[in-house]
Amino acid sequence: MKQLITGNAAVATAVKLCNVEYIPAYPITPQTEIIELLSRWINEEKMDAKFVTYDSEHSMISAAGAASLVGARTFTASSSQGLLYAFEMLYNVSGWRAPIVLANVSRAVASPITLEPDHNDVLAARDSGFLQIHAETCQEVLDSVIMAYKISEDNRVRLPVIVNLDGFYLSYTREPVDIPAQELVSQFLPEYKPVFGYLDGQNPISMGVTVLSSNAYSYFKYQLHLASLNALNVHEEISQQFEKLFGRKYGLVDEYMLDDADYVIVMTNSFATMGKAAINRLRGEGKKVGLLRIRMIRPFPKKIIAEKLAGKKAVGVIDQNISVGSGGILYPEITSALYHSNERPKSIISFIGGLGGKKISISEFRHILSTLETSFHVDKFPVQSVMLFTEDDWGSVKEMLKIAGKGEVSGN
Amino acid sequence: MITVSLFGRGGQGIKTASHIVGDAAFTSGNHVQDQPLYGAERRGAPISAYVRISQTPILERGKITNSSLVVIADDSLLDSIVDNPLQTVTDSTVIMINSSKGVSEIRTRYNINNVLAVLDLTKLTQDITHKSIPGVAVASTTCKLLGFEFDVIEKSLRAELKEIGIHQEDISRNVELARSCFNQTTHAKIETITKIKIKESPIIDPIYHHPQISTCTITATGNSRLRERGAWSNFKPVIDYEGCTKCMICYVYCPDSAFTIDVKGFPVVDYDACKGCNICKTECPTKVISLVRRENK
Repeated sequence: MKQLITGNAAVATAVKLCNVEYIPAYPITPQTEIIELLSRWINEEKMDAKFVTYDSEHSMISAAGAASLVGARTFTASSSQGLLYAFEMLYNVSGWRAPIVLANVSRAVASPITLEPDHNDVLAARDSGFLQIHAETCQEVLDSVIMAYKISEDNRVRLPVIVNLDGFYLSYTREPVDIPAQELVSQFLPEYKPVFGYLDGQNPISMGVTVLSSNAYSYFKYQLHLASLNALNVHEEISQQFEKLFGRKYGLVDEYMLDDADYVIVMTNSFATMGKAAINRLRGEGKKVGLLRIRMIRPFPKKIIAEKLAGKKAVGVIDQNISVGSGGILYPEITSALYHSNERPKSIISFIGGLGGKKISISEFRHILSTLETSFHVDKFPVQSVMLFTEDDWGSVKEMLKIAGKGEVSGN
Repeated sequence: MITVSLFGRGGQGIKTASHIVGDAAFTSGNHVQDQPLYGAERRGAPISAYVRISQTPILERGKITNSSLVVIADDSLLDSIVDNPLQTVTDSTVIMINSSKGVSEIRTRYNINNVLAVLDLTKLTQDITHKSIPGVAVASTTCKLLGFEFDVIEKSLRAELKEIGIHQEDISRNVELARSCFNQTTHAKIETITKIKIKESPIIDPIYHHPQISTCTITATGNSRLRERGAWSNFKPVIDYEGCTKCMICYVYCPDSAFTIDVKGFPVVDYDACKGCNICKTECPTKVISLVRRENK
């Protein structure tokens, strides 16, 4: 049955459908609506789970990992500063091989402090061992949480998963979402019953132990990497099962008008919807342009990205994040995925856009396309990431600087 | 696609109004996307909400830039350059404003040449619900302008008000309010936005600025005075000094320090600083504070 719900409600609904048993929580805008809904449903006895509010996100993630290791299906959520505050424990929980699901509602990171989204929060966690699924729509949010538990609890993977959704653009946005029947979800995702590596009073084990041997450290760390890489195939397999039951199919990447495209724009998350609208408009003007959205960020699906971009004239990667002093975070990963391809595009160019939730306008998409065309035809490649920032954007900032007491700022 | 932008202030029920409109459109068989937008949530601070209604799947997100219908739930927003609720208006936009002012006064004062409806929804709300939250009146009027049936509106508003924990008695009064608004409004011809007017702006290559400029600091002092906070409220507290015991509870509880104490020890409200939050009225132990509607701010 389709209902009009927010991205946050889509997360909470999925958590309820997955029969999650333990929810450690700590509020932060724009995520709080998720834990508010869950605590309300538990209070109204619509959901049978234990809900505990913690003193910080650091304790919250520790509790999530611990609960998972005593055999409870566990969910938690955070955003921005909260995720960063929990950072040390993200690496621990993945090392414990605790199959939790964490919803991150993307919000740009201070300073300056703001509320709207970019992906510097979630991408900071890219090396932590958590898998990462980034969603474009409220429907995909709900479906991804359900799939995340199945992938995470699979013994070929057995790693925690972050499902990412953009603050405001998804978190508070209502869209029609098909809410699957409980019986179908229970059939897809049976009860969580770990048979090894969990705390059982009858058979005590030690967990989170110290290894002062570098050989042992190397072994265990590399096992995490192999487990993560396994998720590429496991995702495909689980995606097929999901499609059979629910009729919706999700790939590691999502493509839009890609087949005959000469130029491709690579994006992630909810802004890809605006990207698709821009593709429609540019196609209407006769431009052969398409879009590739990367849905699975960890493990990084290098092979399929290389396949999808093979034979294209030029590719523009929009990073909605900035690694200060380097540029876009995903750009080098995409470039390296293509390096050994015989059919690699002539140029791959890095763009930074949508920081702090700044909308990416048609002027910006047009600029990307013309930069790609120029790079293909006249061998002109920008060395640094190209910032998507318009004269109007600068005009409004100039006005704010004046009010803040900085006077008339010249330049630009 | 029909694009509806609603503007109001925190506490006026604008988010709920947008949900009622969204639900009604969805129940009527449309693709719908709605989204409220507010910064740090505060009573009285400007809020906007956007509803997109379409026969085909919606490929847009975030703020609406071209509106088919603009609904302004608080006419004081029209005087604010920062919040300018008319910025998404095009030639074909229909505008509805909740105000006690006349249509011609509003037309001249804000230079509006569009199809315009001006209704005193706040008065209607007060008369019927004995409260001053115009959200439902705004929603019902908007739905009527959009051509939805009343039973659809009623079903949507009952569901939304129940969801946010409104008592049955208040829901019934709001249904009555919605019906009254529905009957008073005529159906308008709302234009579908087929071709969105876009202001193109060239990309620039930002250059480095001295840290004195490029660090996020405010060097101007006292510029909050430029923002008249009193404009935030539609109601102001009025003290009946006959019954006032000088207990100073209003002075202590006021979150905006809008109270001072005069030489005789009585509390005095600074209406330029008062946001009309209602806390003083609620806390006053002798109940000598009443809320009076602010006219022609």
